[in-house]
Amino acid sequence: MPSQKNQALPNSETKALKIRKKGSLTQDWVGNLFSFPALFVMVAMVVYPLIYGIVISFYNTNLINRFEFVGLRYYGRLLTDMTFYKSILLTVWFTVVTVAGRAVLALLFSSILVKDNMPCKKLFRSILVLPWFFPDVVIGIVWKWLFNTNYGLFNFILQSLHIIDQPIEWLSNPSTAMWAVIVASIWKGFPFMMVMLMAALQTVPKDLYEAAELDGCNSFKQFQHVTFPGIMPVFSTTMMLEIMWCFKHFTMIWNLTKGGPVDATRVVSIDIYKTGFEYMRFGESSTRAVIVFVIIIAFTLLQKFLQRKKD
Amino acid sequence: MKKTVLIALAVLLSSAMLFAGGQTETASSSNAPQKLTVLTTAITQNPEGPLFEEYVAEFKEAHPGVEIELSGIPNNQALQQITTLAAGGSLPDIFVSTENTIGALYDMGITEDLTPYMSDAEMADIVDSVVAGSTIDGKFVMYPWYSGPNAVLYRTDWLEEAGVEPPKTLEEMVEVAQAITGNNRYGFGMIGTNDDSGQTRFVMILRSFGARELYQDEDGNWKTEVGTPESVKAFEYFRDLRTKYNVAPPGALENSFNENVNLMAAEQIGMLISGSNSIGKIFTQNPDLQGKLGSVEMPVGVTTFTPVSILGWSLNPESKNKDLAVEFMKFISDKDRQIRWVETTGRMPVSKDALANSDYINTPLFEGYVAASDAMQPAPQASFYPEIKTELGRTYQLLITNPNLDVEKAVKDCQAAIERIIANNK
Repeated sequence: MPSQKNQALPNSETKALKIRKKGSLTQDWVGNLFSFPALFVMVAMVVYPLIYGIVISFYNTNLINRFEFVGLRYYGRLLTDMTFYKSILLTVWFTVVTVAGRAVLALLFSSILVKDNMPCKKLFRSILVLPWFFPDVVIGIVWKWLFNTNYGLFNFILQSLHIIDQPIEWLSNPSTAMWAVIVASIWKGFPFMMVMLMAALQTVPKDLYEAAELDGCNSFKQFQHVTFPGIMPVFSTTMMLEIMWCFKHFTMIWNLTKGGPVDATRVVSIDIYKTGFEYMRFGESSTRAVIVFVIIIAFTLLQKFLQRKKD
Repeated sequence: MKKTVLIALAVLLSSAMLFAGGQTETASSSNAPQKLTVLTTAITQNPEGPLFEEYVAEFKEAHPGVEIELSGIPNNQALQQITTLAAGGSLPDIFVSTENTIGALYDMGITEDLTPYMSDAEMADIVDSVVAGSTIDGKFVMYPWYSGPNAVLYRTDWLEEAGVEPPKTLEEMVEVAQAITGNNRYGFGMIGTNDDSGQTRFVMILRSFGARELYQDEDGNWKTEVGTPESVKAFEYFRDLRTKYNVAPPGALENSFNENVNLMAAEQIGMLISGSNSIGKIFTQNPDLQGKLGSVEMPVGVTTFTPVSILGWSLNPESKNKDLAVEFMKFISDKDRQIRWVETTGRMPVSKDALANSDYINTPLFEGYVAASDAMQPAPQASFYPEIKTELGRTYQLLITNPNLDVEKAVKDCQAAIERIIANNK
């Protein structure tokens, strides 16, 4: 068929097409060559570690001199490992509450900060994004001190105000440790969402608010029918990112509790780290990581599917 | 022309990416300085860091033309870092090793046997329990630098004030702790974290009650005595220190070694099961405590147990400067430097000569540590031992946070978990 088409074309056009094709082929080749460095970096930094991680999940290995093929043994063992299921549930709990907390704070502060009549807007904006600038390790240490039973600021304030007689063991008590970690994580992470939502809020046309006001919408209705649909694309993407980050979050939890007490904060990332780097069972650790990878991929696909369906 | 330039540029860029940083030192001129790469925990610590750097400077002065490249790593991350470096083929010539990590490092085949580098006299000068703890399968795979035997460090003035003697048994330890508790002071500094610091101290109590967390039977099979009545007593004892006698400060489950050292320096706790290195840290923070601390060997239950605690160096079998590396280890660990080391850091010498000739050590302050350094016993050399210790940690934390929990049931659950770990590693 293509040859028939070419035959139908005048000679000059056929020649031009050939030249264009030849040119584009050469240009593609050169273009591909230029993309090789980026491709090389991506393969070396992303694809190779990913495949290597999957491969070693089938091995009993110390990564140096022992590579014993065990097939699906670790996957089978994981199926009956209740501690792994518990750590997955804990991770889901941590993720849901942390992301929800960040979303509420981010919505609240971004709504306030985009108001035209807000005084010292730049100052507040700068202060509120500060937690995002500090490394997780620093934030972890600061919050560990704040929560410390014996000389922490929170207990000092509560005792000074005679609200409590005995210090609260925030990080030593399994029922408060996870909440302490969640509070610190919300505080650390909400500025990113806030900045994204502020940008989104500024794109919502003002005349829509005027129209809504004329239609008799109060502030809540305006938020429900104008603001939220307006920021929805950014909001959902940010939520997706936050969920993925929180699901594999490690640093803050490790710095505050190292997964304790009594495994109360042993989320899946802590479980993977301990299995690999404390027990030196890299194969089993990779098995856990592969499962988490699959969960995150499944979640991403689901989100994309729902988004497409909605569009 | 334009096309040719474009292709040439693309090839150049790709080649640059491929070969950037990939060049290795293929040859060095004979005048090039010898270089030793050293991975150490010392430079991340105080007061150890400055003194260690002084030693390194002395070595460089004594060996002109030798370059030393130091990298620091906290002790609790050393194994992870060394494993990563070894897997990436970037292991330094010398790297830190301890009694906890040496089994795994040996298993990876990254520890040179140092026996051929040692004379009989040099071997004979090292404390026997330390030699045993540094040797695997007859190979001397860790050059010991200092030891950290655990003993009970106590406030002499508080005990005198309360009219009690340093504890010799575990029962006495509770009584002494009760006698000195009060007025915002606590008798016992509990390391209740589920990390190596907390787990090791609990193992000392467990074994003192007569139960071994892991051992090999005559056929070489791994077994546990967790689940026996002795082990139940040990868990009850540890729990009661916090929940029944209230001799340990609140927040015990978040207080690891450093937090307890801080509490002792802040004069909030009167006794601590600890290595002698805590002495240096406490005096650095609170010099007023000099003359107010003493040490006593780990109190007896039905027996007593002090695990081997050594920090030393291992030599990379791939090192191109093995002789120089061993010379460095020996230089850092000679008698005079070991004596200066203990005087500054409180960390115990491993040389018999240094132990005998240090005026600083032969005082009541080090009495318990000197006795303990001779009595150190090796911990089980099983690759899954850290996991077993984590199970113990989980159980004592569970009991402390739920004082009304059935201890026997919790200990039986712990036993089942340990047996599962053993079975998985057969």
